[in-house]
Amino acid sequence: MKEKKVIDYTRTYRRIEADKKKCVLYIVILLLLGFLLMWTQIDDLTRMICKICAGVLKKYEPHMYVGIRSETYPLFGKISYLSAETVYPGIQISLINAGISLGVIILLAGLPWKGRPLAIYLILCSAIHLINSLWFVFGEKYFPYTLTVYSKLYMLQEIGIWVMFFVMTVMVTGIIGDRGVIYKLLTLLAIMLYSIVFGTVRYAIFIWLLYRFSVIYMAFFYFMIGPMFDFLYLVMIYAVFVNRMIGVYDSRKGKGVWKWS
Amino acid sequence: MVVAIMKGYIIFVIILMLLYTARHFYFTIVRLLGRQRFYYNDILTDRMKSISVLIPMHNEEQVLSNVLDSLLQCEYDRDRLEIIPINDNSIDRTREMLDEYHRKYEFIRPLHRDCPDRGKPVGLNDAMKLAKGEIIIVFDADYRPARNMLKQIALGFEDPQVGAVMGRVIPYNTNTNMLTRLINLERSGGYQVDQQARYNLKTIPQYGGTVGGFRKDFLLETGGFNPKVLAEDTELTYRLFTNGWKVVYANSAECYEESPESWNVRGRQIRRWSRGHNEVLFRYLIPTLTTPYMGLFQKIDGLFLLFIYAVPVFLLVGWVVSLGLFFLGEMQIFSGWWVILFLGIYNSLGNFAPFFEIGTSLIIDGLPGEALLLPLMMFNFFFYMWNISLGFWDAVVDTVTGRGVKWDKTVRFTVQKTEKEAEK
Repeated sequence: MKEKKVIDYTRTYRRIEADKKKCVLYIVILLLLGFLLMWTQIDDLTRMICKICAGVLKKYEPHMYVGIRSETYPLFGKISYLSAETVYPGIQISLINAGISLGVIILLAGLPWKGRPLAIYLILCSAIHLINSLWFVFGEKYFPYTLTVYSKLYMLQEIGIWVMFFVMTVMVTGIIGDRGVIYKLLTLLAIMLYSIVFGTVRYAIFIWLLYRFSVIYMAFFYFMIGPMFDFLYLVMIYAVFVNRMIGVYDSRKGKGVWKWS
Repeated sequence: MVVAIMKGYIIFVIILMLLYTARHFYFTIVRLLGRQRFYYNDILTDRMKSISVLIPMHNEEQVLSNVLDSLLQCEYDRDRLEIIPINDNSIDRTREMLDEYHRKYEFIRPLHRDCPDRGKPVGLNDAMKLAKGEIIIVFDADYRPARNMLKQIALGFEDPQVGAVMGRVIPYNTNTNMLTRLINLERSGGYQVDQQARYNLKTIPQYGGTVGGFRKDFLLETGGFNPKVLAEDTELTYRLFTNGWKVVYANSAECYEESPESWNVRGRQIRRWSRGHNEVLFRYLIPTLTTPYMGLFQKIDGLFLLFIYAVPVFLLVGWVVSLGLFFLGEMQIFSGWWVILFLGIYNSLGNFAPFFEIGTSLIIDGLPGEALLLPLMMFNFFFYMWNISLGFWDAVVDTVTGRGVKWDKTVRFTVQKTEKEAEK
């Protein structure tokens, strides 16, 4: 029988011994820095995003009117957003959309894999789009949003996402012991950068789609492919971080970190 | 007025989500960085408690030899152990196979039930009347206990205040498909972090109905299992706590289970759990608040746990209300808060651990690679919300109409797979 050189302790009751002051300091300093940055730079950041999006939209849609507006909010100061012409679908397009949504629901509900996550998600997407389409069939003039208002909502939502993601990432990386600070900072940087870039690209695409194919898709964008997909990359980057930290704590770098008590 | 109520509801959901997120976050810190609470698992005794292992079975010819063979390999004094497989109206070869085991091993004493009232609670009640052991340990037929499992569970009862002991469940068919991999992540977070943290904090570790044991006398004195309750495990947890008993979570008592391998089976399982858990919510909400045996923190955590299968319903209603507010042109002030709602949704859905809790459990378990599957958990969100909401509705109808419940066995996959492998 081969002799074991290292006998690992059981994983059952192991825990990390960390300098809790360091963990708290990491969290407090980053939160303060982050809020300071947000508070001072949000005006420039949103204006820059608007300029980029407006530039792209004008290039690919030369006849489209795209302006940049700004409003002042108590907590963040001035926030910029795009303004654009609202295109309504008209009854024919609304009926076609309603019909397709209903068809998708019936089709998916009749399939043997109707209980699968993707089918449930698509049924809910179609249901929301059906409601929105019917709204435009019967009461287009009562639809409460213009493309500019949607654009403002999107920007406010993005700011909400950035603030929440920053706080969340700092907190969830801060509690995983006091090792691997560089990985924690890289994770934070990656999430925030991705969030800003992804948010900008999606902003341009959504505004273009709503202009090109009418605001009939607004509720669908807002409820089904909005913030849900932001959480996907947050968790994706966090997952890479966790994988790295498993390596750190189970290697020489993590020596002495594990305690059994 | 209606708009004000709708906005009020959204604020309620956001606060609820934040509270659940904070709870899970605190659990994660306590488990990863705090001192761990041990039970009597390291003590030595020359006279172990007498135990009866009950295994409810309904048409289990595919898997019953796995659980029985694993139990036969467990370290426990044979004269203090009996195994009672409960053959509940099986129409396959379960009866013959159990009788064969009985011929070989005297302490395996099958109970054959051929009566119309089928179901786990009634089966357990009948078997408890026959059981000689002072401690009852329950396994489902698709479980495979580790060698020291019975000892680990039984030792918990050396503390006279302990009414039930719960072990850790680990799926063994993890690599079968995406679903089983995701269930493995949920299980890891739910047991390694959530249950252990609750035990550390002396709040409400939950007895899970299998891979655990309880004192026979307590259960018989309080009327046995209620056949009208589908989640007899959650019911027992609250019955114990509201009567002044403690529940131990034994993280070292590991047992291996077969996870559902198809989404339909998983969906039915989740719906059944939700139905049973919410029935317990309706029954034990007032007793949990009024019992003199639970401390303030236990009561608070007890309420969080009771409502855990109602939360997805609150979310679904919140979703619908948000849609209403959207069409009423009232989303403007909620645009930033909407994110917080999603944050809560993603973190706190059902009884399944949020991503940071799962990530922490993977670090503790030292499982590289598994973490990369974490983002896929997101696609379970609507699936769970839908099935849990259906289960909640079932529970409401049960409670209002007094409708009886029908036991539904989870489909097994083990042998079908073996046959396929044999064909190859």
